[in-house]
Amino acid sequence: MRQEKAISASIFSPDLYMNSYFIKYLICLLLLYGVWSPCFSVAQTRRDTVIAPAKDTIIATADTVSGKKKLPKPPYLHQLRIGADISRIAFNLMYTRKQAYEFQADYALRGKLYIAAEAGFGRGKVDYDNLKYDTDGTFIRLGVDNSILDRLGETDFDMAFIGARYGLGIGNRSEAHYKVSTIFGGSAEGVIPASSYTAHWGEILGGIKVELWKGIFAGWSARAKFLFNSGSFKELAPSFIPGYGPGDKSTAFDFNMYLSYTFRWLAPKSRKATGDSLQ
Amino acid sequence: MTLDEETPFIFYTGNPNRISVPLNPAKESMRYQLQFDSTVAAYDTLTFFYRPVLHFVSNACGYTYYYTVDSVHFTTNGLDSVVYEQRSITNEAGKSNIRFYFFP
Repeated sequence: MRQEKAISASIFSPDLYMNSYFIKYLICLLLLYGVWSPCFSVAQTRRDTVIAPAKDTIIATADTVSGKKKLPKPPYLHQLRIGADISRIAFNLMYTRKQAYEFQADYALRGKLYIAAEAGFGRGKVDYDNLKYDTDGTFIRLGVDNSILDRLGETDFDMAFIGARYGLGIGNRSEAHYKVSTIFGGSAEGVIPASSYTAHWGEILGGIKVELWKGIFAGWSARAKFLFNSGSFKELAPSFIPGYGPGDKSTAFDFNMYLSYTFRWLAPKSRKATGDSLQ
Repeated sequence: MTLDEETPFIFYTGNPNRISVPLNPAKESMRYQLQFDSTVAAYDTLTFFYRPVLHFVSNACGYTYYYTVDSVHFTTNGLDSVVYEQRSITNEAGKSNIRFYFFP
């Protein structure tokens, strides 16, 4: 295998053996190989294409250890990942009174940080004997994800991550028809006028995203959500706020399963240095 | 026993020191006839004046009514006085709202 050749060559090079970066790299590689290879066997196969440029970088740094030259930056491969939450299909089928559609995008910064955004829309329906109304709304969530896995190379964007989000949802609630039964017989009935709503919430989340095949990623995330303005819903909380969940609860939990496609391009400076070798 | 309803509503209590008085949200006052001792044929009439307040419980439970008691008018055949402990009536069980004092 190309991978084995590349590692062996590095070990027997005296310059590289003294280099701490290389040792860290090797340890990470071995750990990830042992721990993650059963889970991410598909991702493992891509290491073959990663080792070569990484080795070039290491050799260059070894030459400049004694000098005062600034170390060259590794090539910067931009990545924009766009996808959809396919778990919503299952949720929509299971809970017909809560219909939601959700899309996501993230952009890789240098290192292990990602700028992330999610947006979508949905509608809810309350149809009990004593309360009936409809809601609809749209939402956007903005935040960051930080991968806790070391990147094995510039083209390795597999990630196990933790992140945070700010969520904003706006929507409308239809007229609500209510009925309050009394022990005196009959019931008191009335109508709550329609209104619009705005919801703010924060989220903490964790999950994984793994490249299955040439830019196609799959992954999941689990989230805890905290509604900032639950007090504004005392009159009638929306039964379902798309992107958040039940409007009458100040804490909610959610699960997403994303299928994404990535667009990658080299920064102009990196393209000159590498000759598009990463693409 | 309620006096204003089409069907008089009679309620008893297992605890002689405590009674629960239901209020009708469709009205703003209700009259009750109170016999504080079943062995004595003496009755007092209590009239509760109140304001119903619609209160959202949850989407599954819908709405209920809370009340604010403005005043209680009463006869004094056996009843001596009334003390308002908590004019705001919610769904908190076990909370006492009005205390009645009878002649010895």
